[in-house]
Amino acid sequence: MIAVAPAVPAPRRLTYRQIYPYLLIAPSLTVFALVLVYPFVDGVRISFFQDTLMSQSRPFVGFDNYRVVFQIPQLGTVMRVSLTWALGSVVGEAILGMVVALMLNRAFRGRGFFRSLLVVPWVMPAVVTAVIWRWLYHSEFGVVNQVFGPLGLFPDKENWLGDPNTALWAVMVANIWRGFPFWMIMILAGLQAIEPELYEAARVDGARAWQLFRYITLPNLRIVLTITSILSFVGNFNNFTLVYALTEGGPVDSTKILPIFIWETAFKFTRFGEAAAMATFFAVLMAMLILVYARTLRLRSREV
Amino acid sequence: MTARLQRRGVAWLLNGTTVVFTALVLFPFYWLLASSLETPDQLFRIPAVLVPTAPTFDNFDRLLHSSFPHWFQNSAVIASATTLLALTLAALAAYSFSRFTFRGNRELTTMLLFVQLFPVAVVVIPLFILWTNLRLTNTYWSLIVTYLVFGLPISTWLLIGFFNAVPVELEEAAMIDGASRLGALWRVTLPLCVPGLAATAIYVFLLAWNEYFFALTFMNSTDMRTIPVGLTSFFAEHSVDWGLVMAGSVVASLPVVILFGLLSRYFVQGLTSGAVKG
Repeated sequence: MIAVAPAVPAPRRLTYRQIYPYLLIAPSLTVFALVLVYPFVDGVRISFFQDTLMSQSRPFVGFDNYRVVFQIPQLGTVMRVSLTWALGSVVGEAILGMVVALMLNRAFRGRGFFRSLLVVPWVMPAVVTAVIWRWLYHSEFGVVNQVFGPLGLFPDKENWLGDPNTALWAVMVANIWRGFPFWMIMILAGLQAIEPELYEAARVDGARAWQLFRYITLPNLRIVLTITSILSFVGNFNNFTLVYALTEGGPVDSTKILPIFIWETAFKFTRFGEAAAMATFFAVLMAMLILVYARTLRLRSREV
Repeated sequence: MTARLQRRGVAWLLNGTTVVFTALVLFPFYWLLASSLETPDQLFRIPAVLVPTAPTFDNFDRLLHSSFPHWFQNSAVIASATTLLALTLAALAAYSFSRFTFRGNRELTTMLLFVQLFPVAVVVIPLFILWTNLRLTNTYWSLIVTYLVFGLPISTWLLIGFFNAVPVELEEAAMIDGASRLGALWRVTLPLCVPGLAATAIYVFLLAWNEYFFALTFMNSTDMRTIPVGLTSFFAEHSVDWGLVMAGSVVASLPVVILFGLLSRYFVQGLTSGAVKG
């Protein structure tokens, strides 16, 4: 046995070589600290104060803002609209994205070209998307009504974005059109990672097309689909631009999703404390989803 | 024989569906372009005319004499500055992550992935207060710095991938010849990553060019609006000037179409890299 000498702590001094890698990431970290970490912490702080921006004194009010916020009758509607919006968008985008990805995952000439064309709705400015769809949905001169009219559907010139019964769905259609390419690209990447031998073997065994999809494609896409669902849900739940530019949350709150509600509380009604309380609550909801995302990523790196 | 014919028929059917579907997806863009070339009375016609009968640049001419050129300049300056800064900071950070093993390396790169999930509504209020206190609202800086934080993670991720593909031996050779580390990065590694740098730059540029939420919040004066905020301000007018909005939207889309057309292949790769590489 070798006697282990008691560890004598060697005087440790950081050398230039050791801190060099940190020096290189320091500028980026500074930006993150200033624009992400600090505002986040400050937001939580503001949620415990009565803050109207205009007022000079901002007394500490504990959980009062939270109490007020959870008693706003509108909040129930806002949460319902937000969930319908996010879930509906995710499901619509997923189905469309899957169908198009399967169509593009065959060998044919111009495949890359079509893939690029189909990504275009996703890279365009969201505000331009809103302009286009406002025009398509125009009750008097819009293409949508001019197509539906002759078909005998909605003969009374539906005002799609102005009617509380249709506005949410109309915005969702525009959003699905804009968002499906993301699903398409993710699924295509997943499809290309599946070994062709799996399909060949199954075909030799006499499997039909839908069986191939059900027993080979879907199980192999499981992780890609999980990751994309979370990214897509969080993205849609955080959406502000498309909805706001199309309807500003109206008519009568029918498209008022949580980010719009928070933004209005702060910047239209200047009730910063209450808005910050809602935002903190919102952050907790998102954090739970992000934890699921982190677990899925870990799971996958273990499988690989 | 029949089986082969059948399979060919199915392939043709699917190709046909792809073409029709793509045309349908792109129709709204065609409609935007066609509408932007019409005068108001042509625009408000029932039934709508599929191809403009007498195309005119009238709307674009009026656009030139509105506040739009000013907004274009604001957007261009903000997006370019964001791109330049993001690329510089991201290149330094990505180089560090790619070439050194140090404590926190893995954790920090993983954390970068989560920034894209960060709810913007959570930071907008404190950021607005911060910019107000620093007297930075209605300045380019308020947006440049804000966009930087959302452009940096994706740029860093992409650049780590590109740097990893460059053999370290090349840099070592340069350093034996007397170059410093950053000199080697500048003269050896970066020139080898030009396509990757271009793709990353385009990604960040479009992110800043398209952004609306923070621009709407931080820019209150008409003169400081960016294009997206300017476009929606047309809808706040008493009666919407559709021709003007359409022309403005076409101009707003132009850089996107051009940049995306140049590098769509890299762009699509970048889209999946953050989430799929994990």
